[in-house]
Amino acid sequence: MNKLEIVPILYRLMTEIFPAEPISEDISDLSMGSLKEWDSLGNFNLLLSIENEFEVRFSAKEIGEIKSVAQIIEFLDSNHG
Amino acid sequence: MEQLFILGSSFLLPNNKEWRSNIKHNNLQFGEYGDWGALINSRSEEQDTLAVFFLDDILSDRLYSPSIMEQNLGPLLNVLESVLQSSTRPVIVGVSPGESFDAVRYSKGKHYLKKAHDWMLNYCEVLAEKYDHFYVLDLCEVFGEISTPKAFDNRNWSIAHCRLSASGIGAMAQSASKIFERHYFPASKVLVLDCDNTIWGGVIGEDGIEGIQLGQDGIGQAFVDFQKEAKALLAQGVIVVLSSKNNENDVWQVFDKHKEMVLEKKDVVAWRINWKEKAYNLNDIAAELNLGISSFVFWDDNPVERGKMKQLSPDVLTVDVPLDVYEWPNTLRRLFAFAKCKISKEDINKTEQYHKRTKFVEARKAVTSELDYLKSIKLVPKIHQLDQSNIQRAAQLCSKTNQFNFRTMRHSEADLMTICNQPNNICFLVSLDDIYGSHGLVGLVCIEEIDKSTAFLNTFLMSCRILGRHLDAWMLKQAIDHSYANGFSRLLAGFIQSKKNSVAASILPDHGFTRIVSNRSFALLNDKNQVLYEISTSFKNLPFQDIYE
Repeated sequence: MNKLEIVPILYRLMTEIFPAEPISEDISDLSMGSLKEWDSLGNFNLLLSIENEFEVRFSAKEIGEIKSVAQIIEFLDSNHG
Repeated sequence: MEQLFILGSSFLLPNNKEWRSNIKHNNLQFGEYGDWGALINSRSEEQDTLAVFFLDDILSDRLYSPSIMEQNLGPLLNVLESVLQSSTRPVIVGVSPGESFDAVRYSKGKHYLKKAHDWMLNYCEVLAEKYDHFYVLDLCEVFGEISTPKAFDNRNWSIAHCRLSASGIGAMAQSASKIFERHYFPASKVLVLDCDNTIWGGVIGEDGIEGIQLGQDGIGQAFVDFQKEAKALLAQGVIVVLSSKNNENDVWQVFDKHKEMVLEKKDVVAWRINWKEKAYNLNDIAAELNLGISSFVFWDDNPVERGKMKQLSPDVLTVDVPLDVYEWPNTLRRLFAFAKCKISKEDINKTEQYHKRTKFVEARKAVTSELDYLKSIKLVPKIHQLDQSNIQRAAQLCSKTNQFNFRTMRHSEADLMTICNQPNNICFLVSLDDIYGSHGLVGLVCIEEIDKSTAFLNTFLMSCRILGRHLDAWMLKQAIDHSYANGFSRLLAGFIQSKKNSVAASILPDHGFTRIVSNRSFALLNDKNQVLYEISTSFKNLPFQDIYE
């Protein structure tokens, strides 16, 4: 799965998980902290819904490290068929 | 369903997508996990409550005995009970013994967590019996649905102190949501069944009684099992009606003669076996039974009939029946529309009561003078003072009666007890018998003292099952006479318009009550949507009383 396919799905998930403020469709530069609701709990909830959506699994270490759209895309790029 | 307060013995992933997509409340508030005091300090009285216990969180020393349970849980259960006493908003307690262990460890008796789980469920069942608005959620069952190991996630536990996976949260939220929904909205009442290829296989008009599939191994067994599930619903207060495009005689022949039929003719309260559009037939039946079409559930094998029903009568719940008939018995057994939290005594005889109603309606059509007819069926109403033996029925009437209900006060058992325990207040239920049989407890009257000379009709309701007998006139007469006997010279009554009670709007003025303006000194009378009436308790000329002499 490449970035072009991943981004729209990721965008939809983010609008569901962070509904408080509008998110621009160009999400590639966003990271934890750039949205009010994207705090550490928000990050955890985001990663859990990515797991269900893309049928992947983050290790505990990855959950601690992955905090931006760029990192998420990189992970999905290499872990999801 | 507006606001929900959620609290757990460990972390429950606040704001996770699974909560929002499964819970119907608009507003979710999460307490700090383990902080049970929040149930009193942070939770508002407007909020419904979901409290979740993982027994692992509570039994830290890995031992079980009833006294350890009482010690560890006692303070918390006291908090819970005070919440239940302070508000009538629904409270659900979820209980989980955690992940299961392998069979070897259970082979000489229960694991300590299972024992703790049983203790907790038993404790909660006692509370659920005592409080109408308290419910238990056995998370063993809930997580078993999605497979228990998938519901738990040890990584989430280590990182965030959350025992569950996102799917586990979702399954729990969905089940809790159904209980809340059933607390606020009653279950469906009527199962509408097609005949050909629905309660038996094949087409009776073509295959004949010998040719239909019913009772033989394979598909015939599936139809028998499906009928058994339909029959089981009768004992839960669901009534069954038939809607079939057929020759009526052919259908009844199967009922009379086929040895494998489980449903009997007496189980069917109404039917339309003809070639008309099913949606119109159901409207007829709804009018005949005096039930709203939205309490009907339609089960038909034919996707075209289902499609038309959805389009012509969208308020009917049309079941998307599985393609595979073998799945039908289980689908019907698990259908949420008919799921009830508890079955009352009244539910058990519902079919019989509707049969009586049908006979009543038919006989009434045949007699020209309505009042002569009503006299002829020997109506015998009776008063039953409200007490422990009938209070459950009284609360049930409060929660279910929409049409013939002056103020639609949804009193719980506890509310009713409070009203009833004031010395000058008057609370009674009304039962009705006539030549068609006993209709059970069908009316409720609660009168509250306002001052020495004035009483107020807090609650006046009647089951719509017995509409058309002027029982309302008799009940009003009793309300007035009882008020007089208790020393009140004046009885006030209020009518609050709801979406469904317009049938009762003119009852008070029609029976001699006169309209007055609100008396602002009493909260009860002060509702701006309430139309107030009064009557002198020495008033004698209520209409229709001779029906009951």
